[in-house]
This record gives sequence, structure tokens and C-alpha cells, in this order.
Amino acid sequence: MIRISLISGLLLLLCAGSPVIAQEKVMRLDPKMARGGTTSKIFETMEFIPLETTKASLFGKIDQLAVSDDFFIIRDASTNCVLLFKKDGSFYKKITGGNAENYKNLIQHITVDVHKKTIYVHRNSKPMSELYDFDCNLIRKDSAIKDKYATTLLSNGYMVARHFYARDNKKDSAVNRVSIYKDTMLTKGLMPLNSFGGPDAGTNMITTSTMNLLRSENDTVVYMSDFNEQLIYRVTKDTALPYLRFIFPLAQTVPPDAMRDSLGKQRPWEYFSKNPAYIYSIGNTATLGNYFLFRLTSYGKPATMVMNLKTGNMLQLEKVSTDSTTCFLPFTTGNEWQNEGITQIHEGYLYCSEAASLMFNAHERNMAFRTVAYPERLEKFFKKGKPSDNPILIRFKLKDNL
Amino acid sequence: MKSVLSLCFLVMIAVTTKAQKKDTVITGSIHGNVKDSAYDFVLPAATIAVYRAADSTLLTFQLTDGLGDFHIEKVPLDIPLKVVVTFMGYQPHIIKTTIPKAVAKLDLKVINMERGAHTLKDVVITRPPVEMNGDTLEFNADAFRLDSNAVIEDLFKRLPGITVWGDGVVTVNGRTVNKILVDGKEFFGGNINMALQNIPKQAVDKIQVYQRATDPSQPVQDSTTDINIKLKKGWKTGKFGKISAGAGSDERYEADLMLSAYTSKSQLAVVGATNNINKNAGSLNELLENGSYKSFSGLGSYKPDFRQRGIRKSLSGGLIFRQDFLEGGNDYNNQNTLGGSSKIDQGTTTNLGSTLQTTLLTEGQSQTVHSNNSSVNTQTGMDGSAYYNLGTDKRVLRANATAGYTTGQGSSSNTSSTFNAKNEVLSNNNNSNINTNNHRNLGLDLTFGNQTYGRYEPNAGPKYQLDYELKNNSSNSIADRITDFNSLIDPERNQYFNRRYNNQTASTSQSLEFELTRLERWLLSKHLQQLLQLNIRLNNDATLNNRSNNASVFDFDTTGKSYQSNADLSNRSNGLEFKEKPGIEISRTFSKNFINRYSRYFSFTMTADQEIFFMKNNSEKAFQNLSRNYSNFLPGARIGYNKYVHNRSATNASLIYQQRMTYPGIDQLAPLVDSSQVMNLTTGNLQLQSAKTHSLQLSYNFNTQSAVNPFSYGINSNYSRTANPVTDSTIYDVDGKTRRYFINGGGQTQFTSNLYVRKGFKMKQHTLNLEPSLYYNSNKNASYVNGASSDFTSVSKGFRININYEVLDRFRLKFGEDFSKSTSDQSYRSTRTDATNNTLKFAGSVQLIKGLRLQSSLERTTSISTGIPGNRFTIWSADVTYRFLKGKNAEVRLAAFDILHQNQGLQNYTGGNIIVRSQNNVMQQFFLCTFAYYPRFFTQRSPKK
Repeated sequence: MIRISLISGLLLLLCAGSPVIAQEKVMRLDPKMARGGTTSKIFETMEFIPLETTKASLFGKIDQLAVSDDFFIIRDASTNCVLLFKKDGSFYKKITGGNAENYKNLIQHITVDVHKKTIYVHRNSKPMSELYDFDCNLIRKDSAIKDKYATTLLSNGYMVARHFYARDNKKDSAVNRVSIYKDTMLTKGLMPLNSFGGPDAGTNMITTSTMNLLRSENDTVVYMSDFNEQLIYRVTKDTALPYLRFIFPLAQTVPPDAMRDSLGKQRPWEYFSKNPAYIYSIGNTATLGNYFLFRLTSYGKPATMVMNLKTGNMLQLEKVSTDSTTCFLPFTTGNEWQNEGITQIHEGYLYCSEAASLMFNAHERNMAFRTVAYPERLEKFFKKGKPSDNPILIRFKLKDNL
Repeated sequence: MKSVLSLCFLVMIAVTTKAQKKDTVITGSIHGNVKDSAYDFVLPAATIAVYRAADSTLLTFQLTDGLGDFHIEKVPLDIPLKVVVTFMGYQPHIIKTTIPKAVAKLDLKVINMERGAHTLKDVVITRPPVEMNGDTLEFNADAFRLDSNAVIEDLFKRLPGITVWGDGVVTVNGRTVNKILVDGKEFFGGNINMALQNIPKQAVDKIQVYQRATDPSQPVQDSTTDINIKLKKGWKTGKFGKISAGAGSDERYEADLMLSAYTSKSQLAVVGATNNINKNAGSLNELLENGSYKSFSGLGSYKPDFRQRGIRKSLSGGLIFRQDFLEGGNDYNNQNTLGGSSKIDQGTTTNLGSTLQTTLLTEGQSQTVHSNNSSVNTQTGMDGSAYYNLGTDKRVLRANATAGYTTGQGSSSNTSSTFNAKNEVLSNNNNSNINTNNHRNLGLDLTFGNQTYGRYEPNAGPKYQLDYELKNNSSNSIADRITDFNSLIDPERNQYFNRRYNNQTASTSQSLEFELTRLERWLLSKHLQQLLQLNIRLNNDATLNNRSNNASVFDFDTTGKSYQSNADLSNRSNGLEFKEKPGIEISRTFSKNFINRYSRYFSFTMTADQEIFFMKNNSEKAFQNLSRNYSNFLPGARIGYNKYVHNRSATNASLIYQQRMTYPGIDQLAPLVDSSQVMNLTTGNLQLQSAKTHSLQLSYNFNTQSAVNPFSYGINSNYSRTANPVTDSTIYDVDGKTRRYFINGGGQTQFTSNLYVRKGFKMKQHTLNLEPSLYYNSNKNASYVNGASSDFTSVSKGFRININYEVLDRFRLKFGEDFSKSTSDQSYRSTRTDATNNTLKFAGSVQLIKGLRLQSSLERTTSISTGIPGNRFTIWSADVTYRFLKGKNAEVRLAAFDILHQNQGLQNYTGGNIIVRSQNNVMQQFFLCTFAYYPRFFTQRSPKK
């Protein structure tokens, strides 16, 4: 029964044809019913790309990833750097942001234009944006782009950015949650919100989400959701329209007044730690062929979902077991907080990453219990690398008709 | 000895060759993969059983691995087979097949399992066997198929990353487990084995492993590893126990009782034991563990003690209970619990022995005492405690009350002769003693404070904790002592005493400890807090002790045939001691973190305490009326280092410097001298000073957090120096009498060090744990012997190794060796005394057939000391145990103890300038037959209609 309503809802979405859908569709989703499988069944290809580790190229984790024809461009908050690696994993250059412990130095986000080969670095200090080329040379600084938390560049040259808004809105006026820029000029504000004097003012009902924006295959569109919302918007350069509303099982739904009562208002993280099943955020949303990808976030564990829009099949990547086609190596898309999940989609490939220490742990278990033939690149990595090396970039492609 | 080793090897060979019996038949293999057909999960730990189709004889079986694969070897060729695949919650999958000789390998490819018809589609969710739930690692118990009588310990042995060590310690990925809880609560007083060895595996929903921060508000993210055993709904109630009785040769007997019951809110256990085979339960825990369904009897601590002097008949019992007033509470931040325990112990010990003690004097001089002693002591003790714990996120209140009463009667006699180095008799002494005593103690312990469990609050105020302890003791004793001393050097020195002692003492002590942490949030501005990043803590310890003593001493008047009061020794006195110690601690932590790599913390701490000590004694004897007061500043420092390498290892190191004071008591300053203690007279010294001890402690521990091969090592060392400790100046008279005077000695230095390694290997069903360690102790003390300054130096060093090898439940072998060598030097002698001790232990258990188990333990002791004959003996015991009935809960055991009959009760001891060899009556060879029944009821409640 659930599957039938799912399919019919999705077919409506697919058959809508027009990129503009006036009213969101409602989808009932029980994450527990999502399937798993083995990597040989789910992925067309999966490739592990060790990233060269030297004193200059050592970084913490991949907080944000952009992929161009020649480079993997990585932002890492712990070293406050933007690093460029070539497609074979060798290190090229980097942009250093300065001492990461100084809040003003922090690089909050980057926007990469793969056509112009530029990188916008958005920082806390003023002026807020610096423009670099792919050789890490500074072109200019400007303060026109005020939004620094999450951005993505559409193929038509427009930039979509989440706009930070204060919880205690003191003015009786609307605040736009999304800003659209064209060449550093603000062209539009979308998704207005006026919380002044309302019951949610000053609560975590109104909080800017900082989850990354993934550009879909149709790269003039971005799908996004805000904190504590079960609604996904379809955002273009002109519009932000409700696209899909999820209804989760009651045991996983945040009660309507949760953020208004004393614990939720004063110590929201403690509230969610006591209710680890509640899904409070949806992010990393994107479409890829017939698939719709999104990430459900709860205090218990995030879940990366892949929904087949044609068949209604729901897959959870955390339930997929690794097998001999992936050398019994782990790929984590969200089981722990120190992993951002799927960090990029590019030319049909999805990207995530894994800590080198976990790769070595798996290698240790392989040596104890089975014989594994690694590809040459991995063989070299396990021979010469160390558990403290840079994270491994994982590039994979889903099979059709899952 | 050789025959013993041969026997052990034979046992090992028997186990390993058992599996090889079928080698004469040519065999093939079967492999495949098992999955959930609906949701496409692999199914780890599914059971694949291969039967002979003709008569359904089970040929072999295996569990699938973590990826659902199986590969079964040694399967007969060319005969019809039935392969049955089973997994909890699924319908069995049966495949009828034959492996042709030409093929030899059969690939069943993917076996898709259908869910069982009785499962509800939306309720039963197939969980993976292992998953991370936030910070908690969870094992799904149902994913591991075990025998229907399996208990939680059997499950633990199959969980990857969990190692149960030979000494009962449990580690997860190398980290020692601090607590094992059941549904968030301690189980029968925190007794780990009560849960692991009694609760059936099928009652368990999941095993949760998580790190609990010791104090989330502290910058150093130290944490402990706890395990929570979550029971299934409907399995929250259980009753289990043991009733056993046995009899044997030489009128030996034993009987044990343990009955326990638990619900989601209550726990109650009653225990009882009686025996005359020197089985002594030091604690209620031992009696509880003895009643465990799966206890590995013979290798635990509750067993006949062949080293104990004398033969003891004992009767003991007790109970433990806990009542939770909250449904779904836990012991961390949601607790409202009342609990308690009580124990009664009654025993009579009969002791017969002889001792040879040599005291080394100046070069070429020594005195040797031969003595024979006998005693009979009966003691009855009762103690109980009750506690109440109230804990929330913000507050904690704990109250614990204890009470105890013991009463005893005893009689003893001792005859001794003293010889010089030329073996000439110097004196003879006879003592006899008859006594009765009783002792009562009461105690109350209260703790109250605030806490920030589970949350980091940067703006929270200081944290406080108050601990108050009250103890009240009283005792009465009456003793009649007769001493008859004859000197063969000078008859004028002969002495005879017939003295009666009637003592009543009472004491009350109170202590109050107060601690205030995070004080920097009050004392410093926010800007200074961020700039300096200091942690400031205040503490104050106050102790008040009051005691009174009423001693009435009488001497027997041979003329009047009655006891007359001895005015010198009869005395009333009371004393008071007060100690107040405020202190401050300031620390700073430097941390460096690199995400997914490591977290490193360096902490530096300075402490400063001011200790004020006051004592006063009032007595009928004027020389005992005195008071003393002291005030000392005691600084200290601490350096700590912690490093956690992501998913790989943890390192902890610390260096601590401390000072502490010891103060001479009334018994050292001005004791009453009892002249009847002719062989050992002690005199006080009013000039005694307090002594300050400086100590330095180094600790370094490393462990790999490896699921495959856990490895840890560490070193713990302690050095202390006391400049002027209270010691004694000893005068040895020509006829063997010893007189001691308390003095402040020239200095004492102590050094101890222990280096250990723990390595574990887990390969499928085999577990091997190695624990070697080295230790070194040295003690140097400056004193006086016969008026001359003397330095005593004693050094002991040793090597210990414990090896534990197990093949799941079928075979277990423990091997231990403890070798030590100690030497003693005295500066007034050129020769050195030394002692070498070596103890070799074997213990093994093998399951011969299902339900029938053979166990054996062997201990070979070698003890060699300078100047006395060496001591070598082997104690070998063995038993055969058979469990029967459907639930394997009836047991018969035939046991033989000290089979080689070598236990003679000989013991050697060397220390300072004393060498002792003693022999006592001890338990010797006997045989025992015991019957036991383990009632077990674990109800699975049906839902209410």
C-alpha cells in the first residue's frame, strides 16, 4: 500500500514535464523500509582515489568538494584551506586561509566556476569574498556577496546562496532565505520569512541550515530544504517553489511545538540527543537521471537515500554491504558525524570520502580473514601510505533501474 | 612433574585430533552466499547445516561470515546430501544435492531467504548484525545463532572486537570495559558474571557499546567504555539459581545455595554456603558467581584454598536486593533506586603448626627460634548495607548505611626455644591464650552534588560535591594469657605471668569532603577565562576522630588464688584527632586536534594543600596526657598526556608528584608497656616527629583499538622517599628477648615498577590471550640494631605470564607462571640473604562430549631461601562434570583434590634480617561427589488480551 502511494506520487512528479510545479507533492516515507544490498548489485563502478599526502597537502576532511575537468577542489575547515588535486590524486596547489583558530580567518564556503576556472572563497573577515584562479592566484577581493554559508553556481552563471537570517528578527519585515547573484550582483531574494513577533521568534524553528547545496544533473536547478523542515524546494534563478513534502512516521517526526518549549528552545542539541530518532533536517538533495537523492539527518545517524522516481524503490546507501568488487573496503556516506556524505555530483558520478584510518582498519581485517586483489593504485596506497594520510576520495556510479 | 606435563599434552592432542577423525574419506566443499530475498541484505551468521539425506545425520555446519558467504570443507562426495540454511525470522531453506567426485566443489551461488510466515511485515525489521547508532556500537543478538542454552558470555565470545580475557576483564577494540549494565542498570551489585553467565542469549535484544565521557565539562575528553545489555520486551523477568550438595572422603562436605530473581524494576538474590574444605567466600559476589549457570567452576576464586593455614568449617549466607522506582531509568542520569546487601559468616578454624625463625645479627651472629603452636578460633560475623541513589541530569544524591557485628572465641598455645648460631639453647618460652571478643560497627556515607551529565555547558556555573562519612565502632574483648619464660643464660631473668585483659574500646569518626570545580567561571571575567583557559578547583577535607579505651588488667595471685588488679596496665583513656585540609588546584590543558587523525591533550596541574592536624590524649596515666598539633604546606604537581588516534589507538601518560604527612600516634609516643610480652617488648618515644613523604608516580599506557588483534602495554612506577620515618631501634638480648624503641629513622626509600603487555589473537573460533609482565620492588630503610646504625635493603624482581587459550565452549587452557627473586642486605653484614619463588599454574577444561566436561588444575610451587631447605610441591586437582536434563540444568561432579598428596603446608619467608620457615596443618588429598540443580525460569510474557 505504501509502495503504491509512493509510485503514484512519484509518477506525477515525473510526468509533470514542466520544470515549474505549482504545488508540492506529499510523500509518505518510512526510512526503515529502504533496501540495502551489496556493492556489486548497486554500483556500476566504484573507484577509490587516494589523495597525495605531503606536508603541504595534508588536510583534515572533505567539507566541500567541487569537480572540474582537471581538478578536485576541496575545502577543509580544520586546516582552513582550499586544496586542488589533479584527477590522478596528486597534489597541485592550495589556498591557505590562515590560522583556523581565529574565527575571522575561517573560510566558510567556496563557489567554483568550472567554466571560468575561478574559485570564490567566502570568509568571515571583511571583505567577505576573494576570487582566485585555478593556480591559486588572487584576482580580487570584493564585499558584494554577503552570503557565505552555502552556495552553488548554476550553469547559466547564476549563483544560489543560503542567506543567513537571525532568529530574533527585530524588524517587522520579511527576510529572504535564499539570495540569487549574477556576477556578484544580487538579483533576487527568494523564500521570504517574517518571524517578527511570532511564536517561533528566537527559537530554533528558525535557523539557517548550512548543509551543502548539490547541483543536480539538470544544472539550472537546485533542490534545498531548511532546518527543521520536511519540505524540499526547487530553486532556479527566478523561483523557489515547494517541490516535495515528506511525511515521516510519527516516531521520527519532530513535534510541532518542540522548539518552542524550554528544552528545545534553550538547548536544542540536548533535545535531539534525547530524541535521536527525530529527523530534523533534509539535505544534499539532488536529482540524477531517474533518481532523487537526499540525506535525512537525525541525532542517531544520518541516512543517505536514493529514490527511483520511476519504480518507487528506495535505497539507503548505509545499508549497502561492501564485497569483493569494492575489495571489501568501506565507503561511508553518513554513518558518522565526521563525514559529510555525498559531497558532489558530477557527470553522472557521485562523490564521497573515507578516512584513511578506516581504510587501513578494513585492510587489516582483509589480511586476517581473506585474500583480496587490490587495484594498483590501492595496492600502492596500502604499501606506502599510513592511517594518518589524507582521506580517500570515492567516486561511484549507480546502476540503472535499481 | 613429568607425568603431569605429559597428561596435559595428551589432553591437548585429544582435542585437536578429535576434529581430524574423518580424514580417511575423500571430501569436497560447498560454498555460497545467503541473502534476504525481499530487501537484498546479506545475512551474516546464518547457519548452514549439512546432513546425510538418507538418515539425517548431521555431518558438518558453519555460520556465514560478515558478508553472508560460507565455505564448508570436508563434505563427503557422491552421497545424497541435505543442506539446510536457517536464520532467525526466516523460513528454513532446504537444498537437496550431491557433490560429484569429478566436480568436488559445489557452488550454491546466492541463497535467497524468505521471511517467516509469522513475522509482521511492518514490525520485524531485519537489522544488520553490527551497526553504529550515533556514538553507540550495537550488536544485534539475534543475528548470532547459538545453542538454546547459550548465555550472554557465549555471545560475547562471538562478537567481533570483544575479548573476554582470562581474568574476566572484558575489552572492546582494546579498551577495557568499565561497566556492564542490563537495561541501563547495574545487575546484582555490578557483578558482571551474574549477567554474562546466567541470562540466556535469547533474552537479549542488543549489546550496546558506548563511550561515556567522564566529565563532559572538562577539556580533556577522557571517557570510559561501558556495555549495556538491552533485553527484549517480554524477557524482562527471570529467576535462576543453584542448589548443590556434596560429600566425600575424610568427612568432607559442601553445600551451596543461590536463588535470584529479577524484573524490570527489582532484583533479589539469596545465597548460602557451608563446607569444611577451606572454601571461603570473601564477598557476596563470589557466592553469587559460584551459583552461575555457566561458571567455569574450578578456575574461579571460590574453590578450596590449599594454602590456607588450618582447617576451617564455615557457614555463610547473604542477600542482595535492588528496587528501582522509575520505569526505564538508568544509573547515569535517571535513577531512583533503593538497594542493599547483607552477609553472615560463621566459621571455626583449627590450626596446628611449627615455625623456625632466624634473625641475622652482626657478622656471624644469629638467633633462631623453634616454636610450635596450636589454636582453635570460632568467629561469627554479620554485616549489611543499604543504599539509596537519586540521580537526575542536574543533581545526584547517594546515601549508604552499613552495619556489622562480629563475635568470636578462641584459644591458642605456643611453645618456643631460642638458639644461638652454635645451636646452643638460650631460652624457652610457653604461651597460652583464651579469648572472647565482639565488635560492632555502624557507618553512614552521604554524597550530594550537581552534575552536567551528558552535556557540555560553557556557561554553567561551578560544580560542587559534598561527601560526609560517619563511622562508629565499639569492641569488647576478654583474654586470659599465661607466659612462662625461662632463660638458660641467667635464671634471674626467668619470668611468669598469668594475666587477664578486659578491654572496651569505642570510636567515632566523621569526615566531610567538599569540592568545588569550574571555579574560574566565578572568579575570572569571561575575557580572562578565554585568555588564560585555566581550570580552578577548591577542595576541603575535614576529619574528626574520637576514641575511648577502658582497659582492666588483672594478674593471677597464686597465693590468694584470685585475679588482682594490675594498676600499671589498667587504664582509661580517650583521644581526639582532628585533621583539616583545604586546598586549591589550578590546571591548564593544551589540546591539538586533527579531524579523523588524532586528539592530543597536555595538561599541567599545580595543587597546594595546607594540612592542619591536632591530636589530644587524656589518660589516667599522667605520661599519656599529651597533645600535638602540626601544620604543613603540601604542594603537588601533575603532568598528563592523552592521545587518541582516530580508530587506531589510545595513549595515556601521567607524572604525579605529591607530598603527604604521617603523624606518630599514642601507641608510638607513649604506649603502656606490657611486661608479659617477654619476647617482644615495645617502648614509646615522646620525641617522635611527624614524617613527610615525597612521592613520584609515573604511569604510561597504550592500547590499540583493534578488533582483530587487541594489543596494549604500559608501565606504572612509584618512587617515594621519607626523610625521617617512624621506625624502630631493636635490641636483641643474649637470651633471645627483643626490645624495640620507636625512633625517627635515617630515611626510607621505596621504588616499585610494573611493566605489562596484553596481546590478544582472535581467529574464527580460536582466542589466544597473552599477558606477560615484569615487576621490580626495592625498599631501603635506615634503622638501628643493637645500638648500631643499620641500612636494610631489600629488592625483589619478578616475571609473570598468563596465557589463556580457548576454542569457544569446547576447550580452554590457562597457563600462568610467577617467578620472583628477592634479596636482602643489611649494612652490618657482608653476606646477603635471598629467596627464589616460582609458581607454575595450569588449568584446563575440555568438553569431551556434549554435557560432559573434564577439568583439571595444577600448581607447582618452588620456594628456595638462604639458610633453609627448599620447598617444592605440586597440588593437582581434577574433576569430571556431567550436565543433563533438557535445559542442561542438572549436574553431577566427581572431584579429586591434591591427587599427588604433596601439600604439606610448608612456607618460606625472607624479609629484612628475618628468615622464616613454617609448617601448618593444611587441606590435603580428598575426594568429593557433588550434585547440583540450576532452576531457570525466564518468562517470555504474552501480550495482554
